[in-house]
Amino acid sequence: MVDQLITLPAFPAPSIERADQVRIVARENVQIVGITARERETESLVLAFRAVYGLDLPMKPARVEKDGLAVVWAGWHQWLLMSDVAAVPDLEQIMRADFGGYAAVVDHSDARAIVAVSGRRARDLLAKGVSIDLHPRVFTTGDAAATAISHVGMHIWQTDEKPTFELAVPRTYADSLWRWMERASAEYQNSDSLL
Amino acid sequence: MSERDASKEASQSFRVPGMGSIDTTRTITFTFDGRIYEGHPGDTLASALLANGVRLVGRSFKYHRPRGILSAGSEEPNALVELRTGNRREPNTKATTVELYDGLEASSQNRWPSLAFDVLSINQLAGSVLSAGFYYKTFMWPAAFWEKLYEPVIRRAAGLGRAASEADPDSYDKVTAHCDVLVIGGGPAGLAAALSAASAGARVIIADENPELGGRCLAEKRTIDEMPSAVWAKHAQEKLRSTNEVRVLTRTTVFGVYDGRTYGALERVSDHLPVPPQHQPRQRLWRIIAKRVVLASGATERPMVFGENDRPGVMLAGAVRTYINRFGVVPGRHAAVFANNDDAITTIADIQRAGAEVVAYVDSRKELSPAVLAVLSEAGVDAILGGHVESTTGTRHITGATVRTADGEIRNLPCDLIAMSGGWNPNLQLATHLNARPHWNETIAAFVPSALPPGMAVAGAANGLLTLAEALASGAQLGIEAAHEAGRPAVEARSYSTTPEASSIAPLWRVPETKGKAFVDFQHDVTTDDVVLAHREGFAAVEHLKRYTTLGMGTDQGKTSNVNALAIMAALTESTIPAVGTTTARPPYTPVAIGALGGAHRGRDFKPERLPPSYKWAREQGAVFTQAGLWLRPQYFPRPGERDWQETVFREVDTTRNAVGICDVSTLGKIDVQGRDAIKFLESIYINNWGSLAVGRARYGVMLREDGMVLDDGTTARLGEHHFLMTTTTGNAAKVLQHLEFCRQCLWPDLDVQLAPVTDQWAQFSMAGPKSRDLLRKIVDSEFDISDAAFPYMAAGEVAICGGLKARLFRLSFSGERAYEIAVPSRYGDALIRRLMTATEEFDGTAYGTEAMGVMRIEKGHLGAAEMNGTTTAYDLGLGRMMSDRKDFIGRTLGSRSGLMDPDRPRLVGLRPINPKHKISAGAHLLPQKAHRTAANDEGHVTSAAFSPILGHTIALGLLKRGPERVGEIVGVCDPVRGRDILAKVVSPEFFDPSGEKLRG
Amino acid sequence: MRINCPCCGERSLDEFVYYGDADLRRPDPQDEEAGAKFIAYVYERTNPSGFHRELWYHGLGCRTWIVAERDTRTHEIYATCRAVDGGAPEGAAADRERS
Repeated sequence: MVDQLITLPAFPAPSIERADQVRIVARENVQIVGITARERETESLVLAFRAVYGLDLPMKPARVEKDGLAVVWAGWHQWLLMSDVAAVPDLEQIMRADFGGYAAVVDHSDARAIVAVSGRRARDLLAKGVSIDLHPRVFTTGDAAATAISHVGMHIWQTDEKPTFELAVPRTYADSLWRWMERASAEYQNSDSLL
Repeated sequence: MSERDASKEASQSFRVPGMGSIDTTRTITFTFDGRIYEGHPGDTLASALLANGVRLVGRSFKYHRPRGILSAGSEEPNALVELRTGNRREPNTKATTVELYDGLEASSQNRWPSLAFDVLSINQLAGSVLSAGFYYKTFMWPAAFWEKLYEPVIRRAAGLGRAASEADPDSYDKVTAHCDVLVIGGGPAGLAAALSAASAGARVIIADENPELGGRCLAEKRTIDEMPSAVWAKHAQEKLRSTNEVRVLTRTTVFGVYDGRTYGALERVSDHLPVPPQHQPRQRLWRIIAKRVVLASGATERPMVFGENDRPGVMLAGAVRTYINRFGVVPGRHAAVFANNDDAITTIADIQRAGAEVVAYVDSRKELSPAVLAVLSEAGVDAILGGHVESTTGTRHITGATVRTADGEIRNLPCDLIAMSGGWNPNLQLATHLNARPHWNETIAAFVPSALPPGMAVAGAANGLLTLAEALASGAQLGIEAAHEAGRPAVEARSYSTTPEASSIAPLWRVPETKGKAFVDFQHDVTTDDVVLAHREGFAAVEHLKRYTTLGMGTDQGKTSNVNALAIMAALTESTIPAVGTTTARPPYTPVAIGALGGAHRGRDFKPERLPPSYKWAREQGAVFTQAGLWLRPQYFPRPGERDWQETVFREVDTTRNAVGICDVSTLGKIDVQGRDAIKFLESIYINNWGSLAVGRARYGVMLREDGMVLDDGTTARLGEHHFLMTTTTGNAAKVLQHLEFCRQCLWPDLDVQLAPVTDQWAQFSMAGPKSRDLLRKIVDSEFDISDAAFPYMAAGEVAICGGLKARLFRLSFSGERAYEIAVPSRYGDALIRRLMTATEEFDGTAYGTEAMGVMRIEKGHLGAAEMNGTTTAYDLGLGRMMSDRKDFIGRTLGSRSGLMDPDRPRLVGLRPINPKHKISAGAHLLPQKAHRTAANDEGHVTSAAFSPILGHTIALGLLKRGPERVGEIVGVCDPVRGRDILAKVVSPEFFDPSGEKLRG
Repeated sequence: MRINCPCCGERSLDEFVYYGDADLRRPDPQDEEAGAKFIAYVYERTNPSGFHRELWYHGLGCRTWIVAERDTRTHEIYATCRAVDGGAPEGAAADRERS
């Protein structure tokens, strides 16, 4: 659409690879739209959303997905809707048109930067900056949380059992958090990491 | 021998072949005070020094007395050394816990010129003036002497070790861990507890401060399930390491208990290595959240209090056994054992097995059980029952013990080692970190835990269960219970077989008649005489005793001294020990380096950094950055040939005022406000009216705290009927959002209002100056009309730029010039600033930073954080007229109370120096022109100041008593910090274009 | 300390901001004694030793204002709920009447 201005990625590099231990991948080009139910309209919103997308907006911290549209609980009657830029051209407009009567619709595509952390040491790495329990007995695929990483507020959810966690962090902190992840994951270059 | 003699010592003559569990096949070397010694992997520095016959390892804190190694663990008060050199030098490390590595360098501390000959040991001759409370008594006056004389002398003479003077080169890490059961301590009780909990499938963390689990299993010659206890411990450790969901943390001290079942632990990841391996931290701080905890921290042996009991060669009996059984080192050739309890008896056999002689067994008890008597008789040792060691002989090392028998006979026993035991204190510190008081147990003559932190149970010696059998049984049972309470299935506790042992005690808190100083607290040189003196002078309460004598205030926190001291005090006050009570143990259990608490958050990463969208571009331009909260913002953009920052800032201001300047204002907080009640909401949080604001227009607003002080200001634009975009100041974005959420959720939950922080979504650039519209025209797509008629001052709307990119345009001004702010999704920010800067070349425009912005806002009299400082009201800042009287809003009632309406309050004014060459600086005081420069005459202060290139002199904003009434008056501006005292004229705070003509164009 | 956020579950203290007494009710500005009542509302606190209903803000989380019932001596938290649901019952009711 706009070829005149080029975009700058949120993260300084596409990925960080730590042998077979941890993989950190920047997920650019995700459209993110925040919706917050209007007062006394939550029920209508949930019904409308189910009718259009066949998805139930989760009422507790969780993530659901269907046909390339993911919904992550983001607070009381608040959700983040996500899809790839390529799949849907203007998610915000669509959502506003469909649900604007029931919800405040706000574009967050450039407010959050998404990074995927996966691999057998993903939990160990995240434990250095995230204080919630990500043990598989407690947190598993489809679970989500609003919390902090290295003192920066963010949303986190798990997408598979590799495991893969995705984090939506404020874009202006992306550089700083990337540096944190580079340093915190450095030890996984050694196969005999002590942690 | 001189210190320079670096020849290798006769090697490890106190090592006993075939004993101990460390690897003696490999030999490594280390230096102590410059001399080279040999040891083995698995040694501690203390065991290696003892193996080499080195007994004198330090000088005491106050009297500079020779000191040796008292213990074999983290309770050590004496053997404190400086470890490593250069920027890794670390003072006050305990030789008893420092693991030996090849090339280790350590040196003694607190001695001058050398350890063997220490000039300040003369202090002990002056012992009478250095007694308890001597700081308080001696250094009282004259006060001036403190800074100039006393403190420097004390600091040179006392003090323990030297910190490195350069930055620590190593890294530190922090981790949060969650578990069902945390087992603190890896001795027999801890191992049994962890095995139990693991068998129930619980998520278990077991932490122990030693490099291997095992605790006293490794230090004693005992049997568990027909196996030597050390072998059993090894098997248990292997089993735990191979069990799923069990994490074994060795070299890890759980140092604190916090609310919410949170525990602090320090893992010494690389302290046992010369240098941390690549990418590994030196230490790692663990925050452990545990559903249940089994405290199995063991017990610490008490010294006996007798004359000259601090001489090198006097050692805790349990430590003697540790050195023999774990390290294969016998700490002396001719030992006396002095005890008041059965446990110490086993020391005799261990010493004899190590090939040394036990010259006598002295027990303060007259009568012993038949079983114990049988052991003594079998050992063939001269047993002096009902006797006391009264004193020792020797200089830098003991040569003998002076013993008084039950009959009063004095015997001098030649010996080079006294193994003493006054009984065992459960290590209950962690059980009392949340303020519980321990309970006195008469049977073991020690405090045991009583009320416990939520979720904690105490096993083994830490709970006063001092025998091995009790430790294993209690650990096994509590491990099962903990796992079950944490939600795991109930399983049977298994049982362990051990050999029987005796453990009775008859306390002896101090030897009645002694010769020489009898030390209670070794690290802080507190003697029985000091305790007596404290009592005599009225400092009998434990907390007073502690502070008056400094007892228990060393880095060891009195682990070996506290109970002895308060027992002595109990006797002096003719009270009981539980009545005297104990001081409160607080975290940390053992010292924790600040570096570990900071973790990765140091230097540039002390706090997370926020980068505005133009950061990359600005760095390429060579911009100088400043920190604004967490943001890194360009302060100014120096160009080649500019001499200093001031020249750059003048140029940036001048260019903006005459052509156009561009500034990244993305850092301003942005909050999306929607909802049918959005207007009502804005009316309630802003002082001014919002109902009349048309869609497509913005308005300046001020919000107050409920106490009437200004909270923040900014513009809010109406994007739609029920849709607003609020901006906050850069520094207050999070605070304002919190405030709005409070109003929405706690005050007016029925309002239909939705809030979303969108600061990060938008890259927003301000274009200010007479050419700003011309510049804007270059990027806004042609179908959008931006003429003054279509887009006047305070207009807001959506446009497209650069061929179709949706953007938001606002006509706002902070600089007082015609100005626009253009906002695009952040990912385009970098490209847009480059495009704008290219486009601006035609107008000879500039980028400007926070410095120029500050100058221009002061020229306009706009408010900043220095004016909205939390103590100023809307009236104070000249905004009183904005306050609507037609509605309620946060802060209205209290903002209008009479005290805040007092015309005498300091209020906002402008200030101009009478002499244009004079400089006014922020923070300077305002006084009547001729008044004495005293606080009583103070009438306000300068909040912001800058040199205005347009006006050619300094201008300032200030808060002046009755300020607005005094325009035209001349006041004194006194800045004693910078030594300035000048005169300034009070003027209106709007220095530049007060009518706003430039603004509207 | 750990606080059970009614939306997010138990979280560590560093995700929260403390605010104070949850049972204070913002006075009616039309009240004849509004001045004195606002003074009490803003400044006067009982500072109890023991049970306390207090407001916390889950700032590094879901941004919910929470009422926690806490023992100020032991830091034990007995119960939590969203402030909207039961945080300032009187205040909320009063404001509802007013609006």
